[in-house]
Amino acid sequence: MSRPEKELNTQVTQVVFTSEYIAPWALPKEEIPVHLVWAPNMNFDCIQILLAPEMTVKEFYNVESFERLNTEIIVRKLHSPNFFGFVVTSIEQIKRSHEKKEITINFIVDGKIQQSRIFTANIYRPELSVIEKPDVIILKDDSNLKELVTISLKLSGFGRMEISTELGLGGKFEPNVEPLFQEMTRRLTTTFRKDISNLEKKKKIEINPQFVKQTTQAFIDSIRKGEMPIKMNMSDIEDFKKWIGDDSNYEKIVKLVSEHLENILIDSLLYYFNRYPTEGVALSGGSPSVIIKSADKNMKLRFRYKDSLHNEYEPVQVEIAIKDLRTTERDKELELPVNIKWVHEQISPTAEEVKC
Amino acid sequence: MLSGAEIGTAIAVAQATKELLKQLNEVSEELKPFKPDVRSFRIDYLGRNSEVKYLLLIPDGIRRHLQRKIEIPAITGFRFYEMWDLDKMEPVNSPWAFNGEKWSLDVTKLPTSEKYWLTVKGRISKEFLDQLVSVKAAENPARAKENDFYWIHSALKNVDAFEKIWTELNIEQVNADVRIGVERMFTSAIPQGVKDKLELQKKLLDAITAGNRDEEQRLKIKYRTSKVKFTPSELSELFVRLVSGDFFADFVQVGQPFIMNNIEPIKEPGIIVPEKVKVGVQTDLTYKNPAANGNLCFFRHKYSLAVTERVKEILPLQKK
Repeated sequence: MSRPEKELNTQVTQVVFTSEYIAPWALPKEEIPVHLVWAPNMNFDCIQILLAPEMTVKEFYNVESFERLNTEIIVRKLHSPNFFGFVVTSIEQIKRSHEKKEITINFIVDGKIQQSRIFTANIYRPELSVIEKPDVIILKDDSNLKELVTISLKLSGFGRMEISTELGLGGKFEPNVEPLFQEMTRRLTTTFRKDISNLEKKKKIEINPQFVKQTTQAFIDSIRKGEMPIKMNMSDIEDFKKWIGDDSNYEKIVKLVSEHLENILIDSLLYYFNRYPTEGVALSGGSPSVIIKSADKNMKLRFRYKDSLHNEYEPVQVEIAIKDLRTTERDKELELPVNIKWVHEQISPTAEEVKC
Repeated sequence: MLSGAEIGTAIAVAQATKELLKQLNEVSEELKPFKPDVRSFRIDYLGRNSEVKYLLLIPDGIRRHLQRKIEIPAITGFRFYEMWDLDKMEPVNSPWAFNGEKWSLDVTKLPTSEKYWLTVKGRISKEFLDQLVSVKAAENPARAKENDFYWIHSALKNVDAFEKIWTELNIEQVNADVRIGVERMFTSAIPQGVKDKLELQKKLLDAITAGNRDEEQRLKIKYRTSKVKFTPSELSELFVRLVSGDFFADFVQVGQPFIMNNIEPIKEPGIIVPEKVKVGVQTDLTYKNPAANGNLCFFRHKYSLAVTERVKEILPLQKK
């Protein structure tokens, strides 16, 4: 089907629409509603929708029949005569922080455009980049490990991000385990053999029982699935897994976890504070730490990130050389916290259109 | 391509619509001797109720004797809610009887009036509403100075089946949920001293559990001399208060044609402090006004200040 000429539309656009709308901003793949409402006496043969090739219509409002021809859609029949709408999304993620996609809607009479509206879909994404990092870290006997590694990460584009850190270990990247469960496992594996009644009986605090139930269950499930923190004594873990996997111990398990409630509460609060280090960022696993086993190896970190709709973007990698100038205990394992400085350069969709 | 689950949902939705229409047709069919005329069809989106109003003509004459009793099987799921005598403009006292299987109306017991107004109420499923109405809100807010904005949109999706039967359709209280992230407000309101104290408490509890007496004594002294006084549960209770509807309502505003509805925190499993607050906004949709759009404004900065203020109240000695 040939497209009707666009030039015709300028002289007839001032009419009839009582309401016209496109959601003013969206993330990649977010559903963007569009609608037009007009007086029921407007006549037309069909409605033509012209989309940018990266866009797709996911759903129609009030449309009885339509034809899809690549980036063109012809709406043949409506249910109710006075309105129509649809939900459009971008098919893929976008490359730049903000991309505009045009959507043209033409009302056709006798093969000519009678009315026309051009909408712009504004699509935004968040962006993460490294702007500063040390090339080399020099380890000395008196090094203050807490302040040795600082990297600057820039947050740009639009939208919240969920960042997860991975540590480079022998060529592979391993996720940084969620500290809440890591702490719980560590605590429980060291105490599960003890007589429960001796443990922390005196602490009586009130915690939402639903929270306790959910946390306990999520924790038990993750252990049973084999999701164990990496920095733990293997034999303890094996015994503990066996114990926790045994359904006949279920009551004891729940009791043990519940008796650690105050710890859990403290852990959760600390976890929470670490999880949101700055505006617009959720850092799963909190700030990363790198364990250094042998000297003179490069330290590798990878930051994976997603937006609120779980679109995952190209990860950011950091590699820092480590020079070990320690004179004593050179084989000692070191935990090296990575400090992150956040630099905010986010943009926001124009707020002119958004009034309350 | 649709997945198996999507096809399943689509079929369920189609069935739900078909079922409702079938049931309404059944009711209309049974009422046929009295020339039922549907005057309005109203759906309460939030309450998931439907309400149909019929105008019935039941003249006191031969027709009442030919058709003494109307019976409608309970399977339709409708309740025969009330009946008005339109000639006298007064309600008719319980004309409909229900025996667990059927609703029945003995027309011979009706007053001599001719025109009646019958209201029938039914329940409707969420799937059915999802097929009828679309609601959407921005996933992430735009920011202007100290405030965050979320766009909101609702529209009728498929009114075909209804329009063929009724000239009026009202879908009331169409609800859209806006999810507002508040986690960072709390994190930044909590002074470092509190975080340090929590770390200390954690170490102390570990030392007690592990039976390390020396460490326990050392940490206890440090703990007692700490200037920050609070219990972890006080802190988490405060957070819960700050995301309650009562407190949060002052910091959100919604533009026309929407009005504010329920506000409640969203609780994720395993997370003790709510990270998001769900604000319900509602509007009505009709054939004439089939779509609605507006914005919700969250006074981010004002809320953040209020949070910091409340934290100070329970942690008066927060900084050295």
